[in-house]
Amino acid sequence: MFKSIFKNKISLVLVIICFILITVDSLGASRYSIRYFRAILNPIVKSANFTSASLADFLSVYFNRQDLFKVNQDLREKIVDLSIKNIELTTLRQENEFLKAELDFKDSYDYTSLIARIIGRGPDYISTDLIINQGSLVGVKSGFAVTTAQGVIIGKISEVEDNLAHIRLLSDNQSKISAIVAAKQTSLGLVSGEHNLNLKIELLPKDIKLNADDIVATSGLDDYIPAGLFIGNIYQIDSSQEKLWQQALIEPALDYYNVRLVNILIPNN
Amino acid sequence: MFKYLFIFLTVIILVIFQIAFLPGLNSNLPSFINLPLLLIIFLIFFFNNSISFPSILLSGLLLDFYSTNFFGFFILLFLIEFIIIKFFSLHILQNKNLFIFISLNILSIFIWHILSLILVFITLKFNNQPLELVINIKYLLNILYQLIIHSVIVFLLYKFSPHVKSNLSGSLVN
Repeated sequence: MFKSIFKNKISLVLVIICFILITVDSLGASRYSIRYFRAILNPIVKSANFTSASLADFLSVYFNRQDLFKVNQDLREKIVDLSIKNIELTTLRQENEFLKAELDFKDSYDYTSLIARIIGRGPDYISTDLIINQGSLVGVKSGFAVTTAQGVIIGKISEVEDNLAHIRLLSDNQSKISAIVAAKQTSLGLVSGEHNLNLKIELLPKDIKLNADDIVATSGLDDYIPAGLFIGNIYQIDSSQEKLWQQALIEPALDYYNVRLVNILIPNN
Repeated sequence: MFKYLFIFLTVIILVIFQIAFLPGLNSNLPSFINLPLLLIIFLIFFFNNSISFPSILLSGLLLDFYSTNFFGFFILLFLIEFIIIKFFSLHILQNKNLFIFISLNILSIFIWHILSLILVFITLKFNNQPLELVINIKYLLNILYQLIIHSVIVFLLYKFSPHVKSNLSGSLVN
């Protein structure tokens, strides 16, 4: 079988190219070898994703037009609730800024956000990574937080190439991030992905009273990830007696796969 | 030469569809449809080694450009898939008919998932994570959907393409 294959020149050339690329990659120089191939493919991949996303948006408006009225009403009610909360928070922020100024306290980190477009999804079925069109050439590094424009964290940069990067979503099995539950008493925990589907927060002390709809946000203890990025709301609490800690399932703030544009938070210092 | 060019172009388009177009339409679509896999089974079944082998290498190479796994993961996966499917079609499922073609497609999906799990396990992707985190009900359901959707696609190809129909007339695989 292989004798006939290697008689073919095209097969032989491709085998040699694959062999060279694998060898170069195993020697740690993949950035230089694969960069040019990706540079050719990236614009096509980007436009394919943009076309399909536009098509999906158009179709969703057409198919979901009956739901739009109900969604609109719900959103109007939410706006009223949020406006009330906003007034409370503005007052608290002003108070906080005043106290910070009094204590001469300075925030240790400052971030610049870089907009990136999602151009695809990794071909691997085991993990759930998204591919974006910004890479190390514009300063993206592994571990940087990825958020949406509204300040909702969706994941971290897991791998970076010259002109693209992979986002490991919070729901990925390997994702772990330090977080706080903004309950009556703020409490620290660890948010991890479960089955590439759900989010759960673990290692919460048992003396904290958790409630459904409590807000979960980043704690700021991870490198490159600022505090206060919204993760989601608690919807199922597990505080059984036999466990040392309590844990809870989190409903993510949004569907990570429907995001088209993201912000990468790049620390200034 | 034009035959190669046409098939290589089809491979490139299908890989781009898998990576970029399907996720844009719906996030779950890439889990239900594996276009490069469907194409390579089609190539192994209907074309000789001089066409199917380089196409398989090209598919693997393109998928590796956008994978977080080690470089060569998909090339290796497709090569093993090629050898197993070729063995089955030459020695066990020798007749060219619709039933055999669907069976080979189903077999290829199982082989794909078993091999990718083994390869990922070997490369320590699990990072000391329990296996049930990966092989969960959603993963198994995705495989089931993939089996159904691939079989339907093959059946539709058979139904609507006279070329496919004439090639699945019961002759032996060469």
